[in-house]
Amino acid sequence: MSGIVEVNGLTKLFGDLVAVDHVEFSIAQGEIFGLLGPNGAGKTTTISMISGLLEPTGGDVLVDGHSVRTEPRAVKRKLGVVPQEVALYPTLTARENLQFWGRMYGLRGKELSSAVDEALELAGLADRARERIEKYSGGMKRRINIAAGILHHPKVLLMDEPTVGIDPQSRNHILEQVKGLRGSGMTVLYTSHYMEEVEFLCDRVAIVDHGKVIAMGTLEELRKLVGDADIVRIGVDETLAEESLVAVRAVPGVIQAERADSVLEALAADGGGALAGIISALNAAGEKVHSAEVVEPNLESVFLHLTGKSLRD
Amino acid sequence: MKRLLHIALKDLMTWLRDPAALGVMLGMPVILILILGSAMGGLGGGEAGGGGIKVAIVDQDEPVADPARQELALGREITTMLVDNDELSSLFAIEISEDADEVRASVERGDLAAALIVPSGFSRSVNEGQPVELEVLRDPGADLSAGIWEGVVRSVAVELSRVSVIAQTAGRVAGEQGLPPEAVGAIVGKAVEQAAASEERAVRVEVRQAEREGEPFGPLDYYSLSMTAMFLLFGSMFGAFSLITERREQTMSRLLTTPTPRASFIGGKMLGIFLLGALQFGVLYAYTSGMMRVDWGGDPIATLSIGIAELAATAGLAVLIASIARTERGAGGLGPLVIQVMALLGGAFFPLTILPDWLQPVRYISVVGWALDGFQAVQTRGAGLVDVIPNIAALAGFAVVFFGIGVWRLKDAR
Ligand SMILES: Nc1ncnc2c1ncn2[C@@H]1O[C@H](COP(=O)(O)OP(=O)(O)O)[C@@H](O)[C@H]1O
Ligand SMILES: [Mg+2]
Repeated sequence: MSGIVEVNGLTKLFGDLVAVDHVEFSIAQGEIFGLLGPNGAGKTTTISMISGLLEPTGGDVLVDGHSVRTEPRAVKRKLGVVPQEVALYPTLTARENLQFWGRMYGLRGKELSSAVDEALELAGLADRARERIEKYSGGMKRRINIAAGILHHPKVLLMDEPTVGIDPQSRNHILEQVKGLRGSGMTVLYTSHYMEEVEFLCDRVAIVDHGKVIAMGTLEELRKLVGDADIVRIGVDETLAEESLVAVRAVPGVIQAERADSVLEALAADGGGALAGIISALNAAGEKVHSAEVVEPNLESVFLHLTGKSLRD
Repeated sequence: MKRLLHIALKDLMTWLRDPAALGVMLGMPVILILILGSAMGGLGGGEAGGGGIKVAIVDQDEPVADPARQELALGREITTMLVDNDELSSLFAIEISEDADEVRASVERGDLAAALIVPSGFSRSVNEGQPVELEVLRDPGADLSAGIWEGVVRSVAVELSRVSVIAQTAGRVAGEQGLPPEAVGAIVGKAVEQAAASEERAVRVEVRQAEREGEPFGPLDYYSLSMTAMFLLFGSMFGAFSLITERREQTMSRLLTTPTPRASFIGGKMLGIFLLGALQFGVLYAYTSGMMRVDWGGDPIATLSIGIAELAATAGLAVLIASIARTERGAGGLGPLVIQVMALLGGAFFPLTILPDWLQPVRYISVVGWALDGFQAVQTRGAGLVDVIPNIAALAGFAVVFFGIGVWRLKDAR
């Protein structure tokens, strides 16, 4: 293994809680690598250990050959980090924020000012660069939050759920921006609990749950895990009874079924074929069916298949 | 190092855009100097209300035996006259001392508002009709009360002049005429008449102001120094806010994922507080000395050094407050509380000389006390850099202790 990022047996305990449990993965230079998992899976904790913010309880991370345990500053010189929460100075302007973070990453003089200009251009906020970011919308702040971690062209970029809680327009802008990094030589570790984002962006994905990597590979490889199975997505009442769920699982062809809020998701070898059976089982159990659709195999179905849980909760 | 500087400049820029910070750091001290400086009119350093103004009498006079009359002991008479006067004792706390040098030093330090020294050979000179002097010492910082004391002594001198002239006249006439004592009464009556008409004062009062020439000091001078000493400490509250916000908003975490060492982060935060305070000090100094004509004393280097040392303590206090308060709200409560207690104990609101002697040292548990004491020494007692080294050292000590405890508590909490 000779990836630019090598995560070996990485473990973090918070008291009795195992937040990250012997996580192993390797990211090749130039790759966009996804860490997909629901809230609380341990994504942020993993990123914090790679960036030297948290001391691992066990294991190590090598970035470009430097150990985060023994050479944290050498590791930090390779990194750009985009934190999950917007971490900027509200009373400074966008330009001032970017100048500050550029300096913290070691940029000076002309190099700094051209990097800031470029980052503002990329964020689509060059014309509002002189405004204090406290006046920005959530999406605009997110874009500057990303720009601040990227402007120094790091070898490795760590992005922790950079699109959480923003409008679709800003989200698309961000996703396009990250996708644009492919081919620039930059290596990206991208965490998310949105499978569409990871499917859209990533070359390879590690699916994490309860601190453990439960599956890893290219999108192709992961989809094969569920074979040809489809997801049948049914709109139901949130009060759906447990027995009704059991009844759905008993429908021929259904591999797995789970409810999250008002959506019931069932994994079935032949979605179209199972659909009628599922609906009649629900009707027989006295449940209301509000909508129904069959979805092609995706990371959502992989997750459902592996954990019996939906990603969205 | 460069990162440290940029962290400090970033903070400074943030504060300069914050109207609340500017109001507290600059607006409030200026307003308080104006209010206290005029409302407390006449209450300068070393003064107090009824019965509290400390003065001293040193009687170095030796009694002379006059063959014509009884013993003449004018020093003792003057002392009795001043001590027994009810009106005077309601205003002054009079201390009788033997040691003229010690009393002079106390006046110079401002511990005594004024003093009277009756010189050796005073009675003899009066008896022989020689001109004599009473020495009045005044603390320039205690303008009003020293003025009252001087007035009192002058009126005593006038009385004495009369007695002196009477005695001389009576003695001379009696000697010449060989008259019996009954006649002396008539002669004295005449002599008193003459004394009343006399323009010449046989006893002069010489007034010396401790170590200082020019205008005496007033309340504006006092409160300019004391409010500066107090408000330089307010940087610690804004510093604590900033530390807490960086932690809560996770900009601190983000900074620590860059190649910026933890020490540069802390150092940058400290330098930022220091720069804010230096700017504040410069503005207050320029405003009070330029607009209000306040005299900060003859050694700006000494004054500046005290200010710098206090700002180091301010930066240290910021870390300590942040480590205890943990939230901006908490720091907003704790900071002003700590600062106001220190200001009170340090004499920022009223001169500590009104406190009983045993309570005077409270100033030394207060940052404001050490700073104000140093500023005042330069202002009123002609102190230079060497004289205020103890103040600078004490303030630096506070800085180290505050910072040490604060960092230790923050580390402990992680
Ligand atoms: N500082 C902490 N102290 C205690 N528990 C923590 C801490 N940070 C995270 N956790 C816990 O560790 C688990 C993983 O959290 P996190 O890494 O934030 O997950 P994710 O980013 O995937 O949502 C969660 O159960 C969370 O509650
Ligand atoms: Mg997270």
